[in-house]
Amino acid sequence: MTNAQGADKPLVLVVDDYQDAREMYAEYLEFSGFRVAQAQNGAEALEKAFALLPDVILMDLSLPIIDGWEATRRLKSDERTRAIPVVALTGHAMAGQATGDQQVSCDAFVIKPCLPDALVAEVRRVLAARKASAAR
Amino acid sequence: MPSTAPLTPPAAPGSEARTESEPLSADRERALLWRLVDAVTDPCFFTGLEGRLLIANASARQLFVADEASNAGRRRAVELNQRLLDTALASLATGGASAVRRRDLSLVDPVEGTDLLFELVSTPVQEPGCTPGVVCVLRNMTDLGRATRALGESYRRLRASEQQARSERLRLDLILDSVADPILLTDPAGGTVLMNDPAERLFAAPHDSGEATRRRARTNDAHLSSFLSHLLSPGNARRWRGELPLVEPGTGAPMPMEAVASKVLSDQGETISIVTLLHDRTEALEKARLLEQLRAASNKLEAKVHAATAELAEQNEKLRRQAFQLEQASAAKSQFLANMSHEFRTPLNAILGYTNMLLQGVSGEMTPQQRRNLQRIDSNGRHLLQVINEILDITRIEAGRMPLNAADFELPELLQEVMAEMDPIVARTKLAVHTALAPQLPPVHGDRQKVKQIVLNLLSNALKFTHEGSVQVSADSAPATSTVSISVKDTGIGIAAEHLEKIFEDFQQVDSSPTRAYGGTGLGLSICRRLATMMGGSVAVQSTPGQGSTFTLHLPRRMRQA
Repeated sequence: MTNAQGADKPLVLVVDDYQDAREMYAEYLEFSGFRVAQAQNGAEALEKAFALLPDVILMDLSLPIIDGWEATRRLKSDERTRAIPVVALTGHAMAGQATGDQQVSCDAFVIKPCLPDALVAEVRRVLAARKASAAR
Repeated sequence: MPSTAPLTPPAAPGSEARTESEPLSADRERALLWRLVDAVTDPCFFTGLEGRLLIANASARQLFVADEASNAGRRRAVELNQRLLDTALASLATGGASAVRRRDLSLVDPVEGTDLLFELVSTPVQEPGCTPGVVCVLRNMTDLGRATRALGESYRRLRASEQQARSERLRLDLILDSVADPILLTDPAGGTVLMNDPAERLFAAPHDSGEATRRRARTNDAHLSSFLSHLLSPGNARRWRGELPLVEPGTGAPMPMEAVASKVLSDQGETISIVTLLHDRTEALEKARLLEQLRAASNKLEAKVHAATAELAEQNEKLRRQAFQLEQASAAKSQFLANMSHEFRTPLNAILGYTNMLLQGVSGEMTPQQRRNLQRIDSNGRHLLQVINEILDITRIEAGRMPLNAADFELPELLQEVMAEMDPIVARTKLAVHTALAPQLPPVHGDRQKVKQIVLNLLSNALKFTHEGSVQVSADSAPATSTVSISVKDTGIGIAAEHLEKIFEDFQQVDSSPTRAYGGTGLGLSICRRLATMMGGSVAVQSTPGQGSTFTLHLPRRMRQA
């Protein structure tokens, strides 16, 4: 699943249990010049994140086994993955009102439906912000 | 009348004792006669024909003779008595031929000064060899007269008191008869001594009345007798109270009576009589009955009120449960819609995403026809997404889960954004669309996103329902009320007056038929109005069919959450 064409390309971990959406975003991200890794539940997401240490993680929040909130919390509480920006994806507009703790744990929120180009724009924005804060 | 020697007895002839056998001398005889005469207690005297007192015994002298030693009172009394006697004798002298004459003579007791009444009995003496004159005897009648007078007085008093008693009895009868309550006086043997008219009507039927009436009166009397027996038997109480089930003798109508009997006791404690007072209880019983009815009615009413209250409470409880169930159902509905919208979005996300990718040439170039078809998929997908979003908005507003994020923003910038977003759609029309901003619009504190959503909705409506002419978006402020307003004015088809309110209701368009000419969920204006209300504002509409409509959003400059 991993597409290692060049180490200079940022690696995006796409986490979504809905295969069509996950592969769609993966395809478009690759089309847009990213390396992509995929995970289909929270547990797999944590495993991949610790193994690959991606540059950014696209995290759907409603996931089986371990949900997106919990996975994000664990990533943010681990030294190795704390700095990796997490873009939360949610189709639940009503559940999208995160409480304070949850909100700070994610770096950005994207509400589905989200067109692939809009998602890629958001990923680029987050990476740029990360780069800017890392340069500081 | 001067007193003379013959009036007084001669000096005592001596105290020498004489025996019966000795012949009496003339002097001794005279002295004896004098003593005899003086011993008579009634005044006796002998007067000459001219009235001069010639011989008088001691009692007479007491009345008619006063000597020098007597006091003035006695002399005046004696003088008066003398004159009264003269007058009496003179009237006797001119009297008839009868020898012995009697008449009353009032004199004065010269010693006591009291009145004395005498009967004067005079007998003329005309014998040869004797001084002619009149022998008079006075019989003291004073005590007798007094007794007679006293008797007369007693008799008069008796008559008067009898009169008084009679009138008092009459008055008492009148009083008793005028008392409406029956009153009876009974002797200790149980015999009726007295009753007033009302009592008579109950217990004594007239003889000419019918058999039934008399029988009822007898029954009444029997009731009374048995009642009185409580007091008549000795040693019982002084008073007795009871109820008598009497009837009106004439009609047989029940006359329940309350009776109070009291013994009248003598000073020795013996029962002289019994007074019985009866009081008609009919009215009191009737009142009591009415009162009882009233109480029963009141109790019934109270019970009804209790029942109604209980029922009301039950209904309330039911309503509360229903409200709770309704709330739960509403929450379930909201949850369902939220879930459904998620279920809608997930596939829609893929549809729109892949379409978007294809249009971007991710899978290579396409023929113009393929591109046009993909664009149709794209626009229909977007429309479907808008519908889903609107349903979700309504659901969130109804569930009270539509958050407001307040911030300061400028109206000109907001309108600029709206115009930019709508530009592709405007470009497809032949309408003249422009904005008119009042100078110096104040910054607004509110939910920018929601305001933008409202204006977008109003503008897209205007574009949808206007075929030719213009659409103008204007902004203004009213410092007096601290409000701002954004109006969207079109020259479109307009709305009939009867539909002006209906268009703000959920899922309503003027034409709701399936074959309607205009698309849309019919939720847009409803959402606009609800969002405006949430922000403390309102959406108003003015319209003339065929000429156009003006929708105006009024907002407070500083949002206060409704």
